[in-house]
Amino acid sequence: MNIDPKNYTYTIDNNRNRQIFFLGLILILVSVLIGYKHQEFYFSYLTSYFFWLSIALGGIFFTLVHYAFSAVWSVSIRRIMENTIIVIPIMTILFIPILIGMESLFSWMPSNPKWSIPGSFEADHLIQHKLSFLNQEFFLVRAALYFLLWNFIVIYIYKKSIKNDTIANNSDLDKLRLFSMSPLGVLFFLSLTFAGFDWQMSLDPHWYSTMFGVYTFAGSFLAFLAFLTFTIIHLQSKGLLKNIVTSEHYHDLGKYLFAFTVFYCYIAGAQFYFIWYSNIPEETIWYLHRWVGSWKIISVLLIVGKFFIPFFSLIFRASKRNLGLLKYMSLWIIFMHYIDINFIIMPTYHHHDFHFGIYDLLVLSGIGLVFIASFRHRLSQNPLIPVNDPELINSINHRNH
Amino acid sequence: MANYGVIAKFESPSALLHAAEKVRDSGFTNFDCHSPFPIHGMDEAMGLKRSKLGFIIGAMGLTGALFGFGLQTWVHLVEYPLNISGKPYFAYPAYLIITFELMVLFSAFGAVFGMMFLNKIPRFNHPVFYSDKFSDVSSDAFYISIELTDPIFDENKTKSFLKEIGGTDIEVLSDEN
Repeated sequence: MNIDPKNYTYTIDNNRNRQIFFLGLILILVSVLIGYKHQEFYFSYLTSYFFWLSIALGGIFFTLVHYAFSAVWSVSIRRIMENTIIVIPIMTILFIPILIGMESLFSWMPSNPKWSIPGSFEADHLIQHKLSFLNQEFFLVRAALYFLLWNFIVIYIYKKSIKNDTIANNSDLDKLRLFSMSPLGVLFFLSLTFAGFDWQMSLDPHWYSTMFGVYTFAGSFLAFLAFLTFTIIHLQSKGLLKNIVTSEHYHDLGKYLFAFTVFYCYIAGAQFYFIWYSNIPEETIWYLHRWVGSWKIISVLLIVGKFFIPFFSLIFRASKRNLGLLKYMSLWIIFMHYIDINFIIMPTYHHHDFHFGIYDLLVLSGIGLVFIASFRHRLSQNPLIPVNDPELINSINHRNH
Repeated sequence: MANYGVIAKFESPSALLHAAEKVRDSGFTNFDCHSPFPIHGMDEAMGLKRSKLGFIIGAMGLTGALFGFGLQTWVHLVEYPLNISGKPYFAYPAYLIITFELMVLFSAFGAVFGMMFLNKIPRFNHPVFYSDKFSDVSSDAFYISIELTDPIFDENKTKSFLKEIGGTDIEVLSDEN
């Protein structure tokens, strides 16, 4: 089989891409300079940071699954997945502002402004019980471990996969399969769960939900699927990947989007029911905070926009093969994912009303530009498909039955 | 002795698939393919439209959901209001699980009975069983049957046509009773 290399070579204007990258960095720096003294800035930063990070985290899961099961259908879109997750090293550096602002973010820290009255922290019985887990030293160690693991996984996968493009045998693919089936996959899930606990759930240290790890995963994976679908449709509209990604692949991606929309709803619903039924004050207060003022509108928007709209749009076979609909639906799902992250993090700061301010705008676009620019850079570095994978031809000829 | 149609045997799944395409292209609509196992791409080769079953399931699922929600609302608000752990009578979050279960139950009924309805089963006999050799189709034979009721059916022409596209053991099915 011969594919015209033009079909899978993505060329970009490197200077312009560098400008995008540095514009993103400047936006982040400007917002840090304006807001480093304000608590609001750190909440906005955490929201935007976790939104972009979760797209890459969902991608790590999908890539590991792809290799572990030696999936055939997704070989032709595999490189796009690998190019997404390799932004993790840059996201690691962007974690620094959260470390700077951890004292104003997390109220389980004695130095948090919430405990301005002397002795009030020690009087909070529930927090005192959780201090063996929620303390600064252990928090930092855990964050370091997550990033160590994520960086190790993505760099290993990326290096091996790229290397496989140029050598004759496929021993690297076997190594990647074993790598994905190793306990690292389990560790990755643990890290994702605890990252959700640490950076989102512990914002309200009285509150806890045993579903929260799965909730983080469901949101991340759905956002990544939408990002992947949108990227592929966008690349094809530029004339790339012609006859490599077919409507059969879009059909499968559409099925994934549909399935994980339902999965997200199931997880989010189950979390709500457990808390609603048991009716324990320190649990229900979390939902009560999100059912006042304009947060109520956001809660309803999540139910309608993150479940009903994608569900009824994507349920039909024809709509999974309709690229126009799929494109806007994936953008919509990414948007709803941002709303979801905002819904989880921001009510801790904005108690009464949803608020989208200058900090949100600056850091969301700043981190976004850095993310997109480094993603585009990676896309242009190597062929858009794993040219040397023996299953590539089967993936291109993939059919749904 | 009434005739029902013609059957012809093919050697392999791919032969059956290509034969089905030819039968479809020559304008037959009332024909069927018989194989020991499902063959990928057969729906397209036979020119079958997408099944209407999905719409039946969808309608049944919606009915079930509305029925489940309505039933609980009626019971809790009208028929037997009961204070459960201080929650309001119209505690709709609690209703959603039964609503969901009844949606699934009704959808499953719609799927099973709708499938039976669309396939016209249970049906205890079919003309193809008048052939002695046809029972091989449950192990290693692949058959096409074209029925008499097809608008362009003509016994001799159809027989020679089936022979032309590679069919063997061509038989005219007739009711022996």
